[in-house]
Amino acid sequence: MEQNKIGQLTELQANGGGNFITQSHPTNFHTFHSSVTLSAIDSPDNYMEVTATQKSAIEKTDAAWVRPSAELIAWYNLRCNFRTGSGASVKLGQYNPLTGFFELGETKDITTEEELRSMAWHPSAISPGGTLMQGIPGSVVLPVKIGRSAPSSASGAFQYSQARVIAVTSHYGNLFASDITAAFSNSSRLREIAGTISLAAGAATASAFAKCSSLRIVWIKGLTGDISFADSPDLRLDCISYMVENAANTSGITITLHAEAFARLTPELIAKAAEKQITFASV
Amino acid sequence: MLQTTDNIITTDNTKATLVRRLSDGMVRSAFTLAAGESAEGFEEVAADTPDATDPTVYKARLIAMIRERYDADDETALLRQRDTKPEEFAAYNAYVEHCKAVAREEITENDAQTDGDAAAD
Repeated sequence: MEQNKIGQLTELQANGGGNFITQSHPTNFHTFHSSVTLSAIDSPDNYMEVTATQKSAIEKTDAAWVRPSAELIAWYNLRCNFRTGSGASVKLGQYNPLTGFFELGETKDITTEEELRSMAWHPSAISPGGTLMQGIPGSVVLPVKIGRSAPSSASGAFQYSQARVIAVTSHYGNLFASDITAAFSNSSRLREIAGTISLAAGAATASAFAKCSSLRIVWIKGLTGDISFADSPDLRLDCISYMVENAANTSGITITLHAEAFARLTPELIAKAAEKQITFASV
Repeated sequence: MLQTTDNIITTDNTKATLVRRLSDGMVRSAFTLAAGESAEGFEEVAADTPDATDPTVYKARLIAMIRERYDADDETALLRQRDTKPEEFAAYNAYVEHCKAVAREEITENDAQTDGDAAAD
């Protein structure tokens, strides 16, 4: 895909003869062009070049898309938008009419089928320390409240899950946890934990993310002890940075990372962590 | 040999050796240095050196030592009869405490490690 400057604007041009430029983000409404002029707020990252064969396959998939019912969309939006005990509004997901997908956190390509499977079997809340979610078969876990009065134990709550995205919350908006021991362990397909995990002081975290080999996104605040992401090579730098920024340690703690994640650490983040008595370690 | 570059301490042969933090016995291939830390707080160890902060390492050693004298059925009986046979329970408890101290010492080579102890409790 070739980029040309036209005044202040950028034009994308398909390189190969007969190739097309289309959206790179998840959507059921692709458009195809031989060239695209970007608006000032658009980015080349939002587009990709495809061959005529790929175009046909995408068009076939888009044509098979069926608009979810208004009732299902309303249910999903209600389910992902809720009020905490203090009455604050928390929004973790929504149906996106511009793409035809359901969204949860940063996962933007949840299909109607996945959404229906998800709503078919899981509850909106489980008891502290409950094991109801262990080994769950669905690929999407909509916001699950754990506990009514904080902080609650989420020990083992989601281990052995087949989900690719799990949304967590509690009475307080964030999942306010006193214990996340093995909470997500052995969930090898899990890419994102939507919502924030707010740890109580001294919260146990052993093996919380063990064998989470696909994990990219998790937002943790209130860290006061050691934690390990040794099995998560794709853990995003901004998630690591958030964890450091929002740590509540009063003495030295260690965040263990997979060697690939460790290699992405920047000197700035290492320095910021060092100031807060946080050490990164690589397995 | 340990080497420090850009506040990261590692070894020059990460396949054969690892870095151990002296304060708690944590073993990793690399550490960043927190404020006030220096290379003196670390040592190079063989790649098969157990990680003293891994609760499974400590716990496995502790259980193996307890099993030298008590099997699982013995422990269940002792706990059930702790009020009726307090002397036997006290002896058992003293032995477990002894094993914990030895296991800690074996793994960390000092008595500072407490994390694994807490995990096993």
